[in-house]
Amino acid sequence: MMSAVTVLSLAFVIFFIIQEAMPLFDEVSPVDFIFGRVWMPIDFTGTTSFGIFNFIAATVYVSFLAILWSFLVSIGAALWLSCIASERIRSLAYPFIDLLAGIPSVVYGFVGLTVLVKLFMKAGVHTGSCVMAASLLLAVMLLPYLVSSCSESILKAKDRYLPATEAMGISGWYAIATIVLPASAGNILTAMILAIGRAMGETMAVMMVMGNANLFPRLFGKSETIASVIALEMGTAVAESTHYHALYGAGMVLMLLLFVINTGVSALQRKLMK
Amino acid sequence: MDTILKINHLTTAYDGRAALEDISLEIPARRITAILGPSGCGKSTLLHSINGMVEEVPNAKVTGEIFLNGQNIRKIPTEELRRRIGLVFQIPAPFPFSIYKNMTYAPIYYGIKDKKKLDELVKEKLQLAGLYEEVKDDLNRSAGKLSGGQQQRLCIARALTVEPEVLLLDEPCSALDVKSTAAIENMLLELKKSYTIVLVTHNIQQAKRISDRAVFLYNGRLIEAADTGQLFASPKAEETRDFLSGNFG
Repeated sequence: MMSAVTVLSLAFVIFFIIQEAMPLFDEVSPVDFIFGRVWMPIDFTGTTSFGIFNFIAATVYVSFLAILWSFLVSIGAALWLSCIASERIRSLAYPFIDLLAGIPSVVYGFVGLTVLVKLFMKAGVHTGSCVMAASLLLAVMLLPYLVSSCSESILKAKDRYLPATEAMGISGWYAIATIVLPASAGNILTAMILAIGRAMGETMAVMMVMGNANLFPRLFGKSETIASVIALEMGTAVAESTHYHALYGAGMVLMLLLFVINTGVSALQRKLMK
Repeated sequence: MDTILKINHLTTAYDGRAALEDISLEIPARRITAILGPSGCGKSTLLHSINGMVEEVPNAKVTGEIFLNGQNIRKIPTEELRRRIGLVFQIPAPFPFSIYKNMTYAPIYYGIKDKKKLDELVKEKLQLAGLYEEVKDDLNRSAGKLSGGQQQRLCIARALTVEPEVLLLDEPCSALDVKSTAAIENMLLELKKSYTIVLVTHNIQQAKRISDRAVFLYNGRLIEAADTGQLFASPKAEETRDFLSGNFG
C-alpha cells in the first residue's frame, strides 16, 4: 500500500514537471535551451533568451568535484573505522557521523559563508564565492552518508574474507587491498550514485557560497547550478510565463541528468561485478 | 605413530574467563583426529589456539605450550605458523574471484610467479580436494557460483595451496547436505595420506566414520582422548558415555 503511494507520487511529480515544462518548447527549441549560454528570462532589453548550458555544466562540475573530495576522505575514514579502530571507538564515532547528517543545509551554508568564503577571499579569490568553495562544502555534507555506508560494506567484506586470509598467514593490509576493497567496490559505487543524486539536488548550501552568476564554471570562479536557478527565480517568475515554464524545463533536465548518470554508473557497476 | 603436534597444559581465556583449561594432547601425524563435544565446549578455541588465530581476539590470554614438530609455536613467526597450520572454517568463504584466482591468491603472495608452476599447483590441489573433475572445463568461473559443497572443497583446496603440515577443519560440513558431506569425508580420507587433519565436529557419526583418534572436550576440559574405535566401544568417563549415547550435546 505504502509502496503504491510512493510510486504514484513519484509518477505524479514526473508527470507534473513534464507537463509544466512542455509549453516552453513551443517557444524555445530543446537544443537552444540545453546548449544556449545566455539566460535572459525577463524582457529588459527587448530580447529574451533561455539557455541553461552554464547551469548544467555548473551542476555536473560542482557535484563531481564534491563526490571526488568526499570519496577520497570517506574511503580513508571508512578504512580507519573498519580496519583500525576498535569496536568501542567505532560505536562512539558512528553517532557523531550520523549527527553530521542531521545538520540542516542552511546551517552548512552559513558556516560556508562565514568560514570557507572568507578563507577563499583571503587566499585571493575575488569575493570568495566560487565553485571550489561549494564543492568543498557539498563534500562535507555528503561525508556522513558516504563514510557510514562505505565503512559498513568494508566491514562486511572484511568479516567475510579476512579470517580465511589470516588463516593462510597473509598480511591484513595486503588482503584488504586485494580482496576486501575490490569486494566492496560494488556497494561503494551504489553509495556514490545516491550521493550524486544528493549533490545535484542540494540547493541551499551551494547557493550560499557559489556566487550565483550565469558563468561557465571554473574552479575559482562564480557559477550557478540548476537547483539554485530554480530556487532563486521561481518565486518571482510570472505564472504560466515562458520564464516559469523554462524553470520547470530546467528541473526536467536535472531529472534527466540524474537518470542518465545513474544508468551509466549502474551499467559500470554491472560490468564491475561480473 | 609420529606425533606432529604436542599440546602441554594449554589454557586459553577470554576476558579472564577460561574457554579451555589445562589441555594436554598429542596429535598424530597423517591421521584424522576428531575433536568432539557439545557447542561451547572450547572446540573452536582449541583450533584457533593451535594456529595462533586466537591472538586476533582482543583480551584473549593463552598459557601453556604447543609444539609443532618439536618447535614451540611461540617461537615461530605468526605468518609462518599459519602457513604451516592451515585452518578451514565452518562457512565457506571463497574470495570474490574466479576458481583459478582463488587457488593462486596465496601462492602468488608467497612469491610463486611462474605461470606453469601455478597451473600445476592449481590442478594438483583441486584434484586432492576432489573438485578438479567438476570444474576443470571452466576454471575462470566465479567461485561464488559453485554449490555450497563445492565451495567448501575449494576452500580446503585453497588452504592446501600454501603446503601446510597440519590442516585444521572447524565443522566443515555443518552447513552442507548429505551428499556434499560424503564428498568431503572421502576427500579427507584421501588427504590423510599426506596431511595431518584435525577435525572439529559435533556430528558423532562423522567422527566414527572417518577419524583415527577422537578427543572429547566438555566445558573447556579434555575428558578423554583415545583411538576412535576404543573411545566409541568403551568410553571411560561418564560424560563421554552420556555424550556418545546422545544424552546431551
